[in-house]
Amino acid sequence: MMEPMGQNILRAREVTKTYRSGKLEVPALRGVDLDIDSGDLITVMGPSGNGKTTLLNCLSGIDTIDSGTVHIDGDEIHAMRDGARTQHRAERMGFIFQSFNLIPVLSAEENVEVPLGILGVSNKEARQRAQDMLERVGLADRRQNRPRELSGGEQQRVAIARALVTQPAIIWADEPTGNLDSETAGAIIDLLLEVNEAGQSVLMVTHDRGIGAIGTRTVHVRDGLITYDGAPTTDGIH
Amino acid sequence: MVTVLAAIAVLLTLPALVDLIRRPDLRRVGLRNIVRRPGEAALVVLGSALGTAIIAAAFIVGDTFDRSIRDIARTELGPVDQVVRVTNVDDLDDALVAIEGPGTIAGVDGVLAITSIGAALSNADATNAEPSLRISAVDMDAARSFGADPSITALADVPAPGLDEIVINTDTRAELDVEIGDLVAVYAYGERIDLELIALMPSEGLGGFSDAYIDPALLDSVAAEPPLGAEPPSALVLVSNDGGVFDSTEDPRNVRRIETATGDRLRAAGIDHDQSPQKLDILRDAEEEGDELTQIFSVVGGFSVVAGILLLVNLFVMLAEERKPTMGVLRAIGWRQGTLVRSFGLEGAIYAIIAAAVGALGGIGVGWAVVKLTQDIFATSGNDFSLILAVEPISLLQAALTGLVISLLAIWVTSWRISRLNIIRAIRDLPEPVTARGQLLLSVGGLVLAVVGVALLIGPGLGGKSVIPALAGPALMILGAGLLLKRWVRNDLLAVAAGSAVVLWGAFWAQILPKDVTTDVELPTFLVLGIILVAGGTAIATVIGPWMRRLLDLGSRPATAARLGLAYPVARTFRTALSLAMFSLIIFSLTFISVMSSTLGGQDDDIVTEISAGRDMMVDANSANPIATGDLTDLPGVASASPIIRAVPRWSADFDAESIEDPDRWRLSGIDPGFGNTGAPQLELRADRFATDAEAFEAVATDPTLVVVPSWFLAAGSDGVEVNLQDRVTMYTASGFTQEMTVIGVVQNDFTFAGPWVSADLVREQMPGGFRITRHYVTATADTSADDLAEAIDAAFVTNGASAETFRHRVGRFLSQELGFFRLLRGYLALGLVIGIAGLGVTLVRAVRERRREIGMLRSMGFPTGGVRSMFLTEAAFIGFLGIVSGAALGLLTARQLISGSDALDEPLPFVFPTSALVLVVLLPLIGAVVAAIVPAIRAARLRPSEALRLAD
Ligand SMILES: Nc1ncnc2c1ncn2[C@@H]1O[C@H](COP(=O)(O)OP(=O)(O)OP(=O)(O)O)[C@@H](O)[C@H]1O
Ligand SMILES: [Mg+2]
Repeated sequence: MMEPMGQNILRAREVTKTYRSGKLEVPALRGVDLDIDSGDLITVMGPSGNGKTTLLNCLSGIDTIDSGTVHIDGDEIHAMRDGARTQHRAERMGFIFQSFNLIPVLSAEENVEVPLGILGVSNKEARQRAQDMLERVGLADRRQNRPRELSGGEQQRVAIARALVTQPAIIWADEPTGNLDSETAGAIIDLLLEVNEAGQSVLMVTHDRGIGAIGTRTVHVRDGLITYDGAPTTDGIH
Repeated sequence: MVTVLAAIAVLLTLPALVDLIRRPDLRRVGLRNIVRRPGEAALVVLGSALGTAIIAAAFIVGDTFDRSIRDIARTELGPVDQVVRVTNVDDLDDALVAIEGPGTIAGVDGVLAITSIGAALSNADATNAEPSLRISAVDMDAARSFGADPSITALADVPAPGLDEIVINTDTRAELDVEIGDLVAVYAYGERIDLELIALMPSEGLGGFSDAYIDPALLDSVAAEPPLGAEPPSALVLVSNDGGVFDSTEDPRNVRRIETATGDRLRAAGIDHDQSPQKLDILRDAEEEGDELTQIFSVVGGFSVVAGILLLVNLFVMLAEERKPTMGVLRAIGWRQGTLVRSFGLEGAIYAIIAAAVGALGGIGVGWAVVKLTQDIFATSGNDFSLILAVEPISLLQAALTGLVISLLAIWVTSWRISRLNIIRAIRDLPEPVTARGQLLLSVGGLVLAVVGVALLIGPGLGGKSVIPALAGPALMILGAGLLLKRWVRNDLLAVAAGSAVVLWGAFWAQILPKDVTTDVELPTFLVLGIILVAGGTAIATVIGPWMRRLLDLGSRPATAARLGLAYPVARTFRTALSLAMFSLIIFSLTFISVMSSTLGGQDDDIVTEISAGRDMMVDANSANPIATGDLTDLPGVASASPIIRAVPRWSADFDAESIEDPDRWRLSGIDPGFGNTGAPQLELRADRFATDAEAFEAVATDPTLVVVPSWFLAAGSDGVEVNLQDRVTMYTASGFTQEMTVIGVVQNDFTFAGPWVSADLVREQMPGGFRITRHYVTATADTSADDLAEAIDAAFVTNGASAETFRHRVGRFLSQELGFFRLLRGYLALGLVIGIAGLGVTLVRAVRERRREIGMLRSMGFPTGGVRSMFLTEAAFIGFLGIVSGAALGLLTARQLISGSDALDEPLPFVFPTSALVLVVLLPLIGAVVAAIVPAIRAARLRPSEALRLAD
């Protein structure tokens, strides 16, 4: 389900998030505004511990926020019930994390089928689509293997296949190449670029300046605030 | 036993204790792990504590029975160690003189002559009566000073009753509700005598040996001419050995020596007599009965204990897996493998010690409950034997040590196993690959197991005719062969093949092994059998999982949850197998007991028909005051009454070598021609020449050389001895007459304690002074209910000590006692169920933590909370279901084999399918399994995705 290019699909305003553990309060987001249009490839950069992951979690709805609004496709996701928000994620989003988070007891193919199963896609179709997806990420011959039998790069490709197989409108990627060597990382980024060119929006957190430069936009996060939002640049981050 | 256990326990705890003191780093890691998750630590402790509690309770039940039966020595014997029955009352004084002799027998501190009759007592207006009491006459002065310690005779303050006076014990007073000064009526030999109650004595010592004392002259006059068929007074000489109540028989050889010396003196004086070392017998019985109950409860509890071990191992394996990366890091920074083992061992030892202590204490509670329930069972079946809870510190210690040793063994072995890891792979959480060396080890292990199996089978099994090694040997052989073949054969096929082979062996061993090996089947055999069957069943069940998972490939949303729920247990074969086996074992034992009890319970109609001989009830009476048959038939409602003559000659049989050397006393039933006209007890075996059971009984009534015996007559029924048609038995009377007889029929259930059935004429002729007509088989008229008639007979013949009981009531009473016992065992087993369910709960709580990251990911991908919940519920239901189904199936199979297929039971019973019990046995645990999963499932569903992902990284 892809939107025409350039249409706004996410609009976040004045988002704040403070972590509290006991007496300790960590303000991780202190009033963040961000828009994502379809076809965007936003790279999020910033020093460690400044709120990048928090931003991704809060915008995607896998974490709660303290104040502000996040509209996706016109719906305020933090006003929804958890069930609806979850459903929303299943239909519209894909996630890729630094650690691949594959289900260790399922084969590569079965891992990719999981999000389709959640959407209620028939078994036969799911298998077909998973196979196609694995072929696209270059793992057609490894689909029967369990995650433990794959290299880190291969596991991440399975994770990407899993994130892409439902053709989500937004793909959230939190340091997807953080665990990989630069060559393998390059292949992963190429994959993301490819889907982005096909019209899916990508928001990717990265520490890699080279990767930071490839997006259509770059966002710099510092101390829980967005300090830069514009054309890709790596000036003044670190 | 205790010292050996203690030594092992010390050996196993010592390293942990040393580390606790000397290695602060290990102590910190170990303690921190416990404190960090107190809830789970508590559950681990609970799991192994229950095992210990079960062992402790088994000991307590045994101790309680031992103590309660031993107490009979105090309440009914006191100083009395040996009872000598002098055949002829007139010889009593001579016997006393003979035993006292010129010098006392060494080790004897008292000899007392006493005369007793059986009689009924009532209060003055006969509203309260006790039908069957022992009334004695004794020289009160001699009695008071009988034995070394007058306080244990209980007669110290009792005056000698005069000619119209009586002394009774406190138990009897309570029944009659009389006070000192009241009149008490004594019924003996058809007379009523009213006597004044002048004193009470405690119901212990001689005050328990006899319920009442009267003047010797009075007893002589009452018993001057006992009517035909009534029992004359018994003349007894009581012998007290040195010592008090319990220490006088400490050395059985001494008791035997005194017995022999007494006998020698009597024989020298030419006095006909009978001796019995009563106290030794009671104390022996107590010990045997106590040990037997300890064994029953230990074995039944053994299922739960084994389940507890499986749980412990499972938890430790999970613990290790969870901590694998941490352990890898510790290894990397310089911990040796041994250090890891010790850090685990330390943590485990702390769990084990706490569990042993808690378990032993908890065992008191469980033991108390079991004793309480047992008492209730006895009470409802009209048995007033009272249990005295006995908690022996040594038993508690033994239980605690047993629990401790079992847990520590499990802990050290698992710790050693899990600490063998490759550092890099552990840090990166990669599986340990199968190395060539591992392969080789596995094959060697398989070979060793197979060899041990063969050795067990051939050596102690077939060679030593011992059933447990014969049973376990082949199972080990199959297991060993399975391990050997693992290299070459597909693992799932191998599991199914080896599992099926084991199950088949477990089902048909009784038919395959030679008979002389299977005859000594005892309770522990079933524990071993259960473990073997469950191991086989589990091997098969672990393979069923993947197939089930394939069936579920439907692609709908609930199916996704179900698939994921199945994926984990299916992939983690070892853990799943442990959980499955744990459940399966418990369900196996529950099912087995249920079948046994329903089969037994379904028996009552058959047994009533079997024993009733076409009548409604049996009426027993006091031997000193039997009911005249005519009086009975005169009672309204009585259609017919057949007298049965009772006597107690000695017997030998050609199938019982021991009885030929030393014939046994056994009470007989004598019948007159015509007894069979109304019907006869059902015969299990009957000589071919008789067309009906009644014909066989008629033959017995008319021909003194024929006899019908119960299936457990003399030694039959033990050690594989069976009584058969055409066997020869011999009856010996006190006067020296012997009669050889041929067995023409065998009675299955002798619920009436009829003993051998012979011709009444024979008894009348050969034992003129020795028989009594104390029993009648009675039929009620068509318009009278049997129960009402029984009550009417009791009331009408109270002074004869009448006790009328319908056959149906009697069978119900006997069975209810056994069924109650089975219920009790089932309750005891249900404790294991608690282990199983709690175990599953802990396993799942741990699983939730272990899979946090995956749960977070699933939730991110839009997997709903309900899906996460049902994922875990499915997992629990799956393990529960497989475990229950395999356990129940194996339990049914075994019980069926035992009941109708093998010779292990004396008698083949019709197999009764325990429908309602089985529904419970299957449903309750299944619900329990799902309930146990609810908390972890809800916890998993509540995890916030971002949180779950972050924590895991
Ligand atoms: N659950 C939490 N509880 C308390 N503090 C938290 C929690 N999650 C994050 N923080 C804190 O919030 C701040 C922002 O964290 P966040 O993970 O968003 O940083 P980041 O920019 O993604 O860092 P990195 O580049 O290292 O991944 C940090 O100071 C972190 O310690
Ligand atoms: Mg981050």
